[in-house]
Amino acid sequence: MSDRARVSSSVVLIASPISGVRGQWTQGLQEKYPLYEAVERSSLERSMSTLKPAILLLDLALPGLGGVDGVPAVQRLSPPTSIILMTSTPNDREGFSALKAGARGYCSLDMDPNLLRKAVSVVVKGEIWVARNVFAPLLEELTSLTERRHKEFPPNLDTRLDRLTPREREIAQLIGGGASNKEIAGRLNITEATVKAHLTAIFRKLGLSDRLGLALFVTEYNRVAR
Amino acid sequence: MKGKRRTASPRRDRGGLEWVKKRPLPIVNVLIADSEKASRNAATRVIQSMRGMRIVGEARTGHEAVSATARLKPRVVLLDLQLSSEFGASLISVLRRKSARTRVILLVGRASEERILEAFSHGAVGCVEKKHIARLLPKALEAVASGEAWMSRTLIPKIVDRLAVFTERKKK
Repeated sequence: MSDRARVSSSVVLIASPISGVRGQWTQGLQEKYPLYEAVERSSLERSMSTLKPAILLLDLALPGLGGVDGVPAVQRLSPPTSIILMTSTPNDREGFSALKAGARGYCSLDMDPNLLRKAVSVVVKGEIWVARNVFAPLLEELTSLTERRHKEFPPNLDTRLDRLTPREREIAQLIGGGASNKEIAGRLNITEATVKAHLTAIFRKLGLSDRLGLALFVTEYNRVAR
Repeated sequence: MKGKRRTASPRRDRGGLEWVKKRPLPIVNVLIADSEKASRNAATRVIQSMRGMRIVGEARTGHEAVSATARLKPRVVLLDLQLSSEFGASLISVLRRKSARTRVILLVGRASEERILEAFSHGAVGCVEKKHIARLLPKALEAVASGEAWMSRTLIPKIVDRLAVFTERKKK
């Protein structure tokens, strides 16, 4: 992010082989940003390296680009540049791949000039511009990667359980198994009053308010730790 | 959720929510799980004013949220982020295991982005600030009930950054 902030003037480089498309983009942006154009791969590479623009509006159909897979190579020519990919056939899956490839925006080629101006200003601020449809696949990916990681490295739940004494942990596990105070007292050969005292300490240490919450906490802990 | 993704969705057009309303969608059952009465009331008002949405229950604690979700299998749970913190963000994973079809929208009072992202990592698919319930909850409910996600645009870069961290770790 600090890289992006260092770009002084918000120069926008527009790269499309179609003059009509470049014209439409220019119409939306010329009042607000200094614009430069590229019409194919080699002029794009030159401009990226020398201008280091704040924004690159990149037509995915640019000859020699190779679609979304070609984006990282273009990005390497000017790491601080935020790339907005433009396509005549937007779809959620490709939008998702575009973000994964490092693009900060993914838009329809013939987007309304006013909306394009808004998209560019959002990306200049460091945000990302994609259709809302792309949000869901993004979150799905985040959730599934997180779940996979939790299987590999048990999450930080256990640090909370570490605050308990061995006796308290024993009692917590029995609560997780659904035992009553009386059963716990009989099992551990202590009085019910002692069980209650332990429970109070356990609730305080774990930040929980009742035994059902504790049961849930322990069940969840056991599941993750397994 | 999978297989529901549409290409060339009419939603991409501005004002394209109409097509959702025209489809004869089944009634969407909603569970409200919030410890604050004011938020429960605000959410109730919104849902009662929407066609095709029905409140099936209310919960005030994390535990109530779990048992109500298991019993009622609502399509959507509106979950106070504060409640989920009782158990760590994993309360959301518990809800999803109790009812696989259930989708969770967070109601957020004061919370760090970090906590919201943590909740997303555990499977929440929407997020509405409590002060904006009247204005934004209808949109969030429509989006989430039809299989999409709903959140502030400003969170997207943070999510992408998180994904990038995972990807880099995989490469190592």
